Amino acid sequence: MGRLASPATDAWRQLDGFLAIVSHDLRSPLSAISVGIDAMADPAMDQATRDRYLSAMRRAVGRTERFLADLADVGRIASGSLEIEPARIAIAPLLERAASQHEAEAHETGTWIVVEADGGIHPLKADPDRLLQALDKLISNAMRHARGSGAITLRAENRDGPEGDTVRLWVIDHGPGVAGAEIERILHRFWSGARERGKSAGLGLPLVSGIAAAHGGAMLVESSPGGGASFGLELPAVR
Amino acid sequence: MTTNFHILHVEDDDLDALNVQRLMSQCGAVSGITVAHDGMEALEVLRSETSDLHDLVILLDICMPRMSGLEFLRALRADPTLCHLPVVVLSTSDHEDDKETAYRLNVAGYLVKPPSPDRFRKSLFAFASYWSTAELL
Repeated sequence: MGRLASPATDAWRQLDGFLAIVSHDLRSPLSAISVGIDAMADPAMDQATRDRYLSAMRRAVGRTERFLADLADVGRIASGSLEIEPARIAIAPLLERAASQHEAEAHETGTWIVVEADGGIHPLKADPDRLLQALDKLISNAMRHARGSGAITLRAENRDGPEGDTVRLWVIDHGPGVAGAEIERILHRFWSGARERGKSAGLGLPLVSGIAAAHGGAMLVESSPGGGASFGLELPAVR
Repeated sequence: MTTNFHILHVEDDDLDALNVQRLMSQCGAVSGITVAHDGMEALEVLRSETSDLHDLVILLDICMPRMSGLEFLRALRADPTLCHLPVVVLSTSDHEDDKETAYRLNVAGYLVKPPSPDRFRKSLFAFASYWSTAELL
């Protein structure tokens, strides 16, 4: 009886940990929005404060919507049903587009984005929206963790080899960096449902890893404490 | 009641920071508030030459990028010029592990978001008294 119950107990424990992570990451913005609504009900609030509240609440709603969308995508990755709509795409315009989507965030976080990609980069057969989604996660991560640390570089490079040509898309920051073991923990934290103190669910890297894998590629990480961090994707090129 | 104190609010979420700022504006004992977006920025603020550590209370979130609240607390307590500073945690985390770790690092209080406005004000005033007592010792 005890042996039969064990796997189910483990599964429930994992589900419980997962739900705790999700509920924590949803409760935080919802409780802040709730307090904000109560504050805005005060007719004495001046217009400038009201405007700041509206902006902050819109950002909180946006983050929550992205979190729920990411959660759905991570579920699709786990079940192998993430949809990819491949098209032939040029890299430089893709990186420029990714950079332009983060201009306002860069300004707020004391960073700026530099794109390094020339016309000689191999094209890819990939889903542009999914690649932008992956780059969005990596750029946002870089801005949060390298706040005030200057340039964040989006770099593309060809890697030609006997087993096939690939393209590497890097997001490089000059922040505090992260140890290799920590990166493993970040990836493991979500899939195992284990909670790490002082950290959020961390859907970003599992999502990037899943998008890379769905394209026949892989996520890349190069980092050391104090030396900045480089996260990226390596994807098969089209020749 | 103690004299006015200044708050260093360590918080990465702008809406949370705004909510706390509004609550504090209704709290007579608070003379001003400075916001740092993570533990690393908070340490930079505290270690800057212009920083006034007198009458200062740190209000600390736990879950933040770059340097979390618990990492910040460890760095603060290890710094001989900053280790005495009073800290109150204000976090969405109600995990016993987080509370135990925070109290082991000598926080004066631990509030779970969102605190009711009344409880928040009472806690701040209670903490102001704690700070005042610490000054007398």
